[in-house]
Amino acid sequence: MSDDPGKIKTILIEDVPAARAAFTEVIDLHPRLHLVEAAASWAEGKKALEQDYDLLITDLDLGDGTGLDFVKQASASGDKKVIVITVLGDVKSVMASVEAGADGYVLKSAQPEELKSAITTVLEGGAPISAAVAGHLLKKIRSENTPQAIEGDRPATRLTSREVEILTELARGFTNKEVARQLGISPYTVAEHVKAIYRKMAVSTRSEAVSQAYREGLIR
Amino acid sequence: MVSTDSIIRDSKDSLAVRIFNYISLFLICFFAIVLVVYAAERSMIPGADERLTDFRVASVSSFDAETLPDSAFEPIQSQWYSYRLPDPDQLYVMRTDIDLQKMSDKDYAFYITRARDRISVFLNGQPVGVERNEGDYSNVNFLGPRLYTLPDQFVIDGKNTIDIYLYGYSLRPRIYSVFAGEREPLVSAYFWRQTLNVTALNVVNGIGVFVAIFSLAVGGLSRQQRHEYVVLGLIMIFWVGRNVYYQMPMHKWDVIHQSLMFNITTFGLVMSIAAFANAWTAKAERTYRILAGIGLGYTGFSFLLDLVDTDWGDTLYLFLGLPVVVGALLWTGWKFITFRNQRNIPYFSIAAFGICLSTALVDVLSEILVSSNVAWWPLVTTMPYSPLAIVIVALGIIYVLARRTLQLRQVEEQQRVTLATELAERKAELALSYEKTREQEKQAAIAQERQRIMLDMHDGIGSQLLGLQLQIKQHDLSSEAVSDGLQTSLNDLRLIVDSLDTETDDIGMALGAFRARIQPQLSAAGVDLDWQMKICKQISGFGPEAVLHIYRSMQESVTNALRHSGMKRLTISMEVEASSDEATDQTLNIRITDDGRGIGEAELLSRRGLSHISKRAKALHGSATVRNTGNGTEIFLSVPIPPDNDIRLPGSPS
Repeated sequence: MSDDPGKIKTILIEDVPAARAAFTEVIDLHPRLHLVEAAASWAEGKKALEQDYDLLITDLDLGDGTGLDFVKQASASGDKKVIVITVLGDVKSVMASVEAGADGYVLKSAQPEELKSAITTVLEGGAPISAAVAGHLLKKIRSENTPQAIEGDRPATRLTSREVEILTELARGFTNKEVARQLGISPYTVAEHVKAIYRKMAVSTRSEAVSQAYREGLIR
Repeated sequence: MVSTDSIIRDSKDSLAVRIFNYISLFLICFFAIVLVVYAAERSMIPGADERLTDFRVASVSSFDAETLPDSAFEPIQSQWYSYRLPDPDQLYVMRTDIDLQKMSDKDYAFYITRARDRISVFLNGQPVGVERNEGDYSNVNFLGPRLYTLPDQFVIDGKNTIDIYLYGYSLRPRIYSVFAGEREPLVSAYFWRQTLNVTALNVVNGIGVFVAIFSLAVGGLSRQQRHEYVVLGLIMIFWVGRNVYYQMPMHKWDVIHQSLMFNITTFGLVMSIAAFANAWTAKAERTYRILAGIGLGYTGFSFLLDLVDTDWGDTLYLFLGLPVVVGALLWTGWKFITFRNQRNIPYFSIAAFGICLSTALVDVLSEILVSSNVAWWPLVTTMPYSPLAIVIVALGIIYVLARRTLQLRQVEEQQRVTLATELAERKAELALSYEKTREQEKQAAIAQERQRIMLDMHDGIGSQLLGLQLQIKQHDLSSEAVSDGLQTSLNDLRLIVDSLDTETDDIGMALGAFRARIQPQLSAAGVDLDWQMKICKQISGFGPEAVLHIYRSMQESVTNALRHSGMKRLTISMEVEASSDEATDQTLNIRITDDGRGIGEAELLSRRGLSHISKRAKALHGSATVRNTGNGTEIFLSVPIPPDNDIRLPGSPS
């Protein structure tokens, strides 16, 4: 384990040993990542986060606690990136993660290649909003965009028509690049739009989403 | 709440109060008429008691009484308060002497309260007022009084002779109270009588016509009180007709016609009042018949007397009329008093009838009293004033009708408000029960969905894992084969989750979510994905079950391609096309094409995955075909889009 200062200091929190091993291997082999610590429980993770890091990769269900705590903690510090590990990638857990401040999510997989490509995608700023999440957001916007909501006091939730357009394309499965090509803009611009969408949705829905997650038993 | 019934039956006054009410009403009307007319007229004539009574009469052929000897004249007595001459169509002259003091500052006049038909007056042989006998009716004032100013140059200091020429068409000539004296008070009396007998009658007739038009118009519009208003209109028409016939100047033989019409209209008036009472109560059949009988008897009798036109007829009229009138008055009073529903239209109708009779009573009483030489009753004939009583009653009726209409409207408004409130309550109840039903349906849908997922788990992942376990036990499987099997199960589990998660009201988004699933698999294998999403509109109608079928078909296609084709590039094209099938408007077409080695005939038949795809397509009433493109394999999935069901519940299968 080299301590190259150019590499991204990464903390992994995963309670399933096999998964932890698989992620550890992927991170170790990743040219841009440096693993600071691989914590095996919520308690260990709490301790591990006292160290300096740039990227947090955490599972949500840690047995003795929820990874959402760390997601919030990391995103609150501002400059840190967070990737959530999820078993099924279901919309509820992904939404809860995104709204807690996660930058992206990866599926637990036995295939190192899948893990690697997923991590790379997130690191490159690609698709923190998956198609499913985009669809979920769109539905939310549609239901909120009743006349009252539009004239209401929540400007943060109001997306521009361009943002809605991009969100729609993402929901239909297109990647940032493909959306950029379709709209005749640069992928960078699309990424900016996506970040704006994400920001608006996270800001406006975070507390709501957390309380909803509590209600629905995602956070215990 | 105010009901229609309580408006009709709103009074439960005691019998004493009701008797008092009727007597008060009758006395007020009776004395109002008598006192106003009599007192006013009487007060205007200082010598009212001194009507001229000393008359002599002679039959003449022209205005030549001056040439007649005194012996040609015979004394004549008044019968009741009028003088009737023996024959119709015969010219008579009535002579009387008056004492006048000729003074330079004094004017004298001669005043006849009423007479028929043609009257000419001569003073000391000089004409002071002449009505032509034939042809001209324009200046004939049948009901009106006549006033003759005695020209100064004809007046002699001392005894003056006045000759009154009378001519009656068909009926015998008749003359009522006659006065002579200073001009000024007689002019006042003349104008008062003129006003009451002619002007007032015309005004009252005008009001009557207006009330008739108003009642008929409102009756035409009114829903609840059509009969009442129409009958009220008829009352007014009969009443005005009666007055008009009463005022009509007589024609030579036309008097019978006039009398007939007058009595017919009188009868119509009584009948329509009775009909009004009947229409209002719908219980007054008996009242109606009795009123009709009285009306017919009264008017028939009146007409008969006019036909006969005899002295004994007058006597008969008076002494038969008095009990009839008094009896009818007592009867109406009794009906009035015992009428249970006071202060409504029958009440007023009966009161109106009573008041009409009360004017007749004034007439009858006045004639009897005058004949008994009770001198203070000389002038009044109230026939023309009975319409005044009717107009008072008509105004009362209109007031009551209007008030009732207003109250009914208020009741309607109240009922409308009540109905609206009840409707709102029912709507709320309905909404609640609808909500309950929805909730129940939702629960049922959830239960159904739960069962389906269990089945999916059992047939899908469950059997896959079981098969894998068996294989591991029986054979020494490579870890890669195990991993492969587990990955398949995991993929399927994720598809199940996605099929439940995704926004299934938009198939484009559901397919978008699928890409997120296969992208890592393809990336890991180094395969480029060409994602050709050509669905632009929101297409709803597919439920989670259908979406899972589509997912699984696509997953198997992708898995097959990954395993067997050796592809570098995978194209997934999705579009909505107008259907050739009649059962549905549109179909969802999904084309999955790889650039691998292509599929052989043998593989086409043997691969289980492909047959599964076909089965799933059939479950969705669609089709799946596999073909070798020459540059690889194409799997074409075509599924009809179910008609959109707006009330489809969330999570329920469509």
